[in-house]
Amino acid sequence: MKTKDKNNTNIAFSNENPFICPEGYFDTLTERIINRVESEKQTSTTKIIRILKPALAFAASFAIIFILIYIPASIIGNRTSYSETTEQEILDLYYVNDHVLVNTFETETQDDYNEDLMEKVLLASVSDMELLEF
Amino acid sequence: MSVDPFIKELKNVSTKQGAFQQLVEKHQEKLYWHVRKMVLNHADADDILQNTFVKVWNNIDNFRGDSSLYTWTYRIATNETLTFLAQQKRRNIFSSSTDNDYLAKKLESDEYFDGTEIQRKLQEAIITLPEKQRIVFNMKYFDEVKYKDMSEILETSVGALKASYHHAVKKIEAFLRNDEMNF
Repeated sequence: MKTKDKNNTNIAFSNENPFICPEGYFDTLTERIINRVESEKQTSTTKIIRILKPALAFAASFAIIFILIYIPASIIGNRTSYSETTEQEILDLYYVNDHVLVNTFETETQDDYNEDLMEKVLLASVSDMELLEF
Repeated sequence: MSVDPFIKELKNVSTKQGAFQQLVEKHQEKLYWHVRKMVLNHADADDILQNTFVKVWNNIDNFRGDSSLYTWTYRIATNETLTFLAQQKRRNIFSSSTDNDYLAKKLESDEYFDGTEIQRKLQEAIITLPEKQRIVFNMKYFDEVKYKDMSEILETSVGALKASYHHAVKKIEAFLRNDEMNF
């Protein structure tokens, strides 16, 4: 047994390691450490999911609430604007039609009125008897 | 400054696992005994050693290469050990009469202690030392680590380490003298 006197002190014990470990401990240690590292990797992924879970749940609930409120609201909103547009368009049409009618009438009166043609049409549509009675 | 090819392998995703396995195989035994002499119990040493290597795996990308990989790993193991001992001390603060009583109990019940009675006495003396003095004493006395290397691992000056070792030896001598007188 090796005995040493360190640094000129009076300690004169063996500096051999008095501890032992279970037989074959170092044979399997590397494998167990690698397995531990692998499991830690998985745990860290699970940990990230666990940390993000409340945030994801909150985002999902928000999305559901958004879908439940926004989509029906937008459909109703679209319907309202459609009917408003339609009414406006109808009013515009009325307005346009009055103008068109007046314009058309004035134009036709000025340009297309033909006395001879009118006479021919009237003669063709009225019978001789009707003319005599008149 | 050129980077050690082995460290490159450790930092490369495709070669990391193989290089890490080599690192574990190379240093596991030395680190185990370093930790074991501090915590005394095999199960605790095993746990701390595994935590140490998990930290090495997780932080290898942050390793800047200022010191050798072995020094860096040794430092992580030392810090893990000191953290463990501090936790144990807090846990046993109400149940033990002195700071290191729980360690004395561990030593007494350790089934993996194979030393002589005189070696047990020495261990009993060592556990009365403050943690950092114990580390210095164990590294110098049992592992025969050079002060220069110890200085890098513990990030303490050589002078402070020498003083620490000297104080530790004096305390151990006093403890053993007292113990002899009591018998």
